Amino acid sequence: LKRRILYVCHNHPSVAPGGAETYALELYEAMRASANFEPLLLARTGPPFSPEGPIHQGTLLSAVDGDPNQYFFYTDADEFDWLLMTSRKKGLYARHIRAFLETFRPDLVHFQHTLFFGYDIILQTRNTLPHAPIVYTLHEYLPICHRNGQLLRTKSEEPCLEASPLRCHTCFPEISPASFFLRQRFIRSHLSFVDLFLAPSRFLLERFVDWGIPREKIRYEEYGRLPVSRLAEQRTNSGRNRLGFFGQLNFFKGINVLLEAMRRLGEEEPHATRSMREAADAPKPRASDPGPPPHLWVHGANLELSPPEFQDTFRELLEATKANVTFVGRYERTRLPQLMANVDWVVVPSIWWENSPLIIQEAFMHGRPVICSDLGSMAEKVEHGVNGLHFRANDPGSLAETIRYATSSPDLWERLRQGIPEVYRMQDHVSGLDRIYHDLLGR
Amino acid sequence: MKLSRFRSTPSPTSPLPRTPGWIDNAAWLSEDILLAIGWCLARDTDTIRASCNGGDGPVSLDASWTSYGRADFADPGYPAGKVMTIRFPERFPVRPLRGDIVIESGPSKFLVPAALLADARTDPASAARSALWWLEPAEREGIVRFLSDTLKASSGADAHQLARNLHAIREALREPLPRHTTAADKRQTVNADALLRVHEHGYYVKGWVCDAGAAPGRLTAVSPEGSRVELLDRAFRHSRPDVERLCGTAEGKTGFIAYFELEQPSYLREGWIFECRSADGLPCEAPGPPVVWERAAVRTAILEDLDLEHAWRGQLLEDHTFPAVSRIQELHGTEARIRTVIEYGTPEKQADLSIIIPLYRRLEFLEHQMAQFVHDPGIRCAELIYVLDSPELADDLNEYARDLYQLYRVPFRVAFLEHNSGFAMVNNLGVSIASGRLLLLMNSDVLPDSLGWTSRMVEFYDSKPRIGALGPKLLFEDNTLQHAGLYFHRPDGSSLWENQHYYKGFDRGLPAASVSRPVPAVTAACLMIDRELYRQQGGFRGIYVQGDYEDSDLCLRLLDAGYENWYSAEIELYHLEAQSYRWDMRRLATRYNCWLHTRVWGDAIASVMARFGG
Repeated sequence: LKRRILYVCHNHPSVAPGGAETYALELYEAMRASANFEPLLLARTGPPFSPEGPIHQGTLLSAVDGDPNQYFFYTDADEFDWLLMTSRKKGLYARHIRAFLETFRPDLVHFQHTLFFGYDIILQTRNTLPHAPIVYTLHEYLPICHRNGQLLRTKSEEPCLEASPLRCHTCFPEISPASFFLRQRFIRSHLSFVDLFLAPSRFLLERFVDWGIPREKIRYEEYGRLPVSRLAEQRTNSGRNRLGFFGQLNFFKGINVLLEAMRRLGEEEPHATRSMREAADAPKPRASDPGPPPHLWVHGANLELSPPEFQDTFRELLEATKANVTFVGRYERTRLPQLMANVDWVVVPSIWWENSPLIIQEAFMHGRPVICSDLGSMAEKVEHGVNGLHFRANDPGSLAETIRYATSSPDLWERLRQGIPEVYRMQDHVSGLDRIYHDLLGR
Repeated sequence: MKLSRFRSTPSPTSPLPRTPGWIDNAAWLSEDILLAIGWCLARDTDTIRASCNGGDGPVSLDASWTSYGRADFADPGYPAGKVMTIRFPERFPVRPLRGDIVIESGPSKFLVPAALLADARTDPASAARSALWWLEPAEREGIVRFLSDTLKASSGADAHQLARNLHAIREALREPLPRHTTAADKRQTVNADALLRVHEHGYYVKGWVCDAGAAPGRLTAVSPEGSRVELLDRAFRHSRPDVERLCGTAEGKTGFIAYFELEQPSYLREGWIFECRSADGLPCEAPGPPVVWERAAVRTAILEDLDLEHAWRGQLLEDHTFPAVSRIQELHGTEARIRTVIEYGTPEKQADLSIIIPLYRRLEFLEHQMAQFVHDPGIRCAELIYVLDSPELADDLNEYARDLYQLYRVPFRVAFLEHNSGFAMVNNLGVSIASGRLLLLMNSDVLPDSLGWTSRMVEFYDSKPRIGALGPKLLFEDNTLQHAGLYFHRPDGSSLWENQHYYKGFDRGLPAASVSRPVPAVTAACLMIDRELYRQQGGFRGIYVQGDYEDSDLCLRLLDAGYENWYSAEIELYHLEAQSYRWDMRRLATRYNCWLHTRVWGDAIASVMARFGG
């Protein structure tokens, strides 16, 4: 008899795309093949991802097309307290969550995300299923940092390593230190009902140990990746001058740092005015040749969600880099092999620590070395000089220099490509989780 | 004495009066008070006997009158005119009256025939106007005042009807004064900015008066029902630069503030008048603003004035603020009661320890405490009692408490109060339903730092034989000291003792704060005391405003009775000192409380501090 694992996630990729929810669905799918466990998926739905109001009257549940083991659970965004990350409507959730848990009586509950449910769902689970182990994957830093878990100071935009009531208050002067103290105590209290935390990066793991999760309750477990349907082609015998950016067009992802670096490179290089086609068709550079000038393809969307000043800067920079930057815009994940085929390097210029960027795994799966900020989990996942290059975070000069070095050093690309590790496979991840679940259930 | 005429002749069927007297007009002032206007030969010094047969023989009635000279009499100076009030006993059948009213006084014995009352004019103001309009203003004023005495023995809905009628009579009879007068190029005018009801007899007024002459000779408050109080002698005067600009006077202190008590209660929100007469006799008047009744607003408005008193320290407080506010606090205390107690889960009732936690406005602290208490089995062994002091949030709290119990499963009770009752009463009411041997009075913004603290605190308490109150180490959210015991401090040049916390703001590990020891007092934010002892001492006193100084007041009483108050450094909790009150009001309340606390305890504090080396 298979034991039942319930996955809980704050969103479903069929409603809105997103890293954690995509991973959660992939894990659920992969776990269906397990000989020991039968997965269930409970995905929260509601504003801002989907329309207001539950689908049916009298229940918060609705079906995910065609799968009896996946459910949507509606919650109101208005009822969500963003400071405490809890729902103000205690009773509603308590009743409905409880009913769901009692109906399926999962042997183990694995939370992927509790946003829009509230951390109290953990205690509700403990109450309803006193013997079911509770696992919680920490996808980001929301419990630590009120600024959407960015770990960036609000005024200086400096990366932050230490949350304290006073420091958080200086970031949010309208929220008192006492309120931040209560926030911390409240969230810690609820997270203490979790039996085991999983951290997809060592950097993230350390942040949570610093914050107060006992080291023995947290374990490093990287995201497992499904094999890609087709690998992006490698261009042979040509300059390695093509760069790709994949991600949200927002401040935190550092797109403007990258564009500024491209602007400076364009000014320095006299032949940077050559057209894209010329650049692509340029002959293979000799050792002394600076090589074809670097060119960047920007893939990403959601610019409109950023503050107007950021959007203005972005557009100005795009205008100033017409010659060496091509703006592609929104992309589908399924098109990634084709898009990757067009680039040699993937640039990850985030100005914050990052949690465990999936794009680094994607780049590695397609055999693309990564140029990234020397920060947090990016620096952890990409080894400088082995499978990519680091530059000083938030420093366009450093990035420009790194790009110039990367695109003009013959054989560097090939050497770094050879250094790319095998990406953690979903099947290994599933067997890893299998062991973890067994250990917890065996207690 | 020769009378010029008799208005009518007594009916032959009535028992004939000894001497003439007659009622021209009668009207009901309220359900059981009759206004009768007429004449008779008795003087004011003669006793009045009134009676009426309600069916079981004559019943004596409470009658009184005031006299005036009648122009239609041969001797208009003879006080034959009578304005009479006749009060019937409770449950006397007055409508209709079964027998005539018989009135005897001095030489007169006459009737108020039941027949006259059967069609008595129902509008007493018209009755009064038609009979009395021709009198001199001062006489009319005297009559209004006389009538207002009827309020003394009235209460309830009846009193309100009476008040409305008296107001109508006052309006019918009074001589309005000009809004302002001008003399010697100066304007004389008066204004009442705010009129606050402390209770039915006690009112607090703030306003200003601009004198045409040297100084106003009189300032009179006239209640809607016609009671009059002279304010000038008692008022606190202060400078009002805005008024001085408006009136062009250079003299300071145009503002006045007065708490005054009326001989007769006043019930109406509107209809006050403030009359001003300058020393040279120029009169003017101003309508009073609608009376503020809501008690919290009244108290706030009174405390706001404390800012005016830097130069006259003590006078405003002693003569106006204190009598008004202490009366409010007293009324507040007598009205404090529990409406209902609801259990969430099944709380421990045989517990050794009862924890009493007031909730005021910010209900979310309940959730924050639950999120900590859930981890501590020690809490489940105690009797946990929350007391809601925001009655308007009762429904919200009931639902919230139910849901929180569902989630956290820490059983507790909530006492819902009838009215907002203030910190002292909330605790006392909480204690009234507590059953533990020991009490822990705790604020909702206090959170434990570690598990098992309740039993350690009980152990500590039990280990000290003469202990009165026990307070633990309390921390701010940044791990600095919020409380390590209380002491009293009198700043240089001040006459007031202030409550101070030892080592506030220093690191929690400060060696000096790491020693458990007797202290002058401990904070009520987290205070343990024997329940019987608390009861003996009468609990917290409700004389202070908005939760302040109750703790030191109790601790001083304990010292006085020979007990020791202890600070325990081993037990640590957080106290966030979250303010649910408006900060500026808190400041003024503190000022009042500090003054009052010194007034009550000043000498005792001096000797306590001498003992503690302060």
